[in-house]
Amino acid sequence: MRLEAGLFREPGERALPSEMVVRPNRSRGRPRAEFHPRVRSVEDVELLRRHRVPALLITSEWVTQHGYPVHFQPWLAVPEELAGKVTSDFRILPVKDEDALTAPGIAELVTLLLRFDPLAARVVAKRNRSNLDPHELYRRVRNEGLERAATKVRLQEFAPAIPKTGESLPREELRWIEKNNPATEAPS
Amino acid sequence: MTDIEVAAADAVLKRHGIRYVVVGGQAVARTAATTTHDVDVMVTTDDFAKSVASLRTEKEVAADWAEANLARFRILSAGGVPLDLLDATIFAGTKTGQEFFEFLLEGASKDDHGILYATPEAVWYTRLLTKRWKAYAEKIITNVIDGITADRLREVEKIAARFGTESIVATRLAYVRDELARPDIRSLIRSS
Repeated sequence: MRLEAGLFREPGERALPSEMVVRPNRSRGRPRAEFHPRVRSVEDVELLRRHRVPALLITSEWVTQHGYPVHFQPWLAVPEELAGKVTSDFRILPVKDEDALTAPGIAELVTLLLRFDPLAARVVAKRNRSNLDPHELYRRVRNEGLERAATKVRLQEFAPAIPKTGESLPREELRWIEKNNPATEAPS
Repeated sequence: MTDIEVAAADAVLKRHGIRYVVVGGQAVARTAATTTHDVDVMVTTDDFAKSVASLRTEKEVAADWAEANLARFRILSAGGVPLDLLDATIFAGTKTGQEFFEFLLEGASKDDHGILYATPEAVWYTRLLTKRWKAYAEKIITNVIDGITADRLREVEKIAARFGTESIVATRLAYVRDELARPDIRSLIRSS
């Protein structure tokens, strides 16, 4: 499968299971059928990924494993072009750069967290600093246009090249937030 | 369902006869999904010093540090998660800490399995009144993204009016509302 403002099965490719796809209006004579994915479970996301559909589930477990113990309802990150076409019980998080979803590491996790929990993003960056590639974080933040959110939680401390845009939270307040939620599991 | 951390705090606090209301993330978690694992527990003004002294004798918690109106312990039976005791006076404005605590008990908390949790608007009010309110404003924004309606910010105004803290809270609420109006945040609120 590949993303083309929709999903199209290439010749020779196996189809997704029928219960996972919704076929929109069909055009007569159209060479390829467009499908809208229906995502209801973790397994559905894994299946999409196996079919090279850029989709990623952001879970509490993933964040907690990286040193920030937290509970939240999962977000399904998908490219912006696909966001309006996915049917899902998960909350949808549209991303500009689908490449960030293919093999996500710390930089990608931090960038995704910036969208909905910037305080968590900072703590994850700090607690995984030794594994965080500053250039990769800079690239991801720029690609998503998240310089303002990054500045707010002072991610320039981890990736100095990120342009400063807008106001930063006081350092002491950020330290307090971190202190309030100590890592109870060792960062991987 | 009571979380492990809150249940552990409840057992200790009840053993010491401490009246309390859960505030902070664990209280908001009754309504919204996102919560960290620390437990914030508010006790009455009259009980604050006595409660802190009493907890220092408890084997299941370790005293971490204490200030005039805030004391931190760690719950050993729950992996060392922080347990903060807050003096209600911090939030009482022109009234007494006892009055603020009674307000929480009677009109701004809900009972869940015998534990009282402050309402989201009461938690937001307390967060915006702290000296670290800007960082806590981020948590409020995350709460709204998680599904707590921003209309509750009006309830925060009412609490502030009740305790004479409107002038402090007004500018801080304006900051939160401005952030919530950002297009990227609005799109997430719609999708969640």
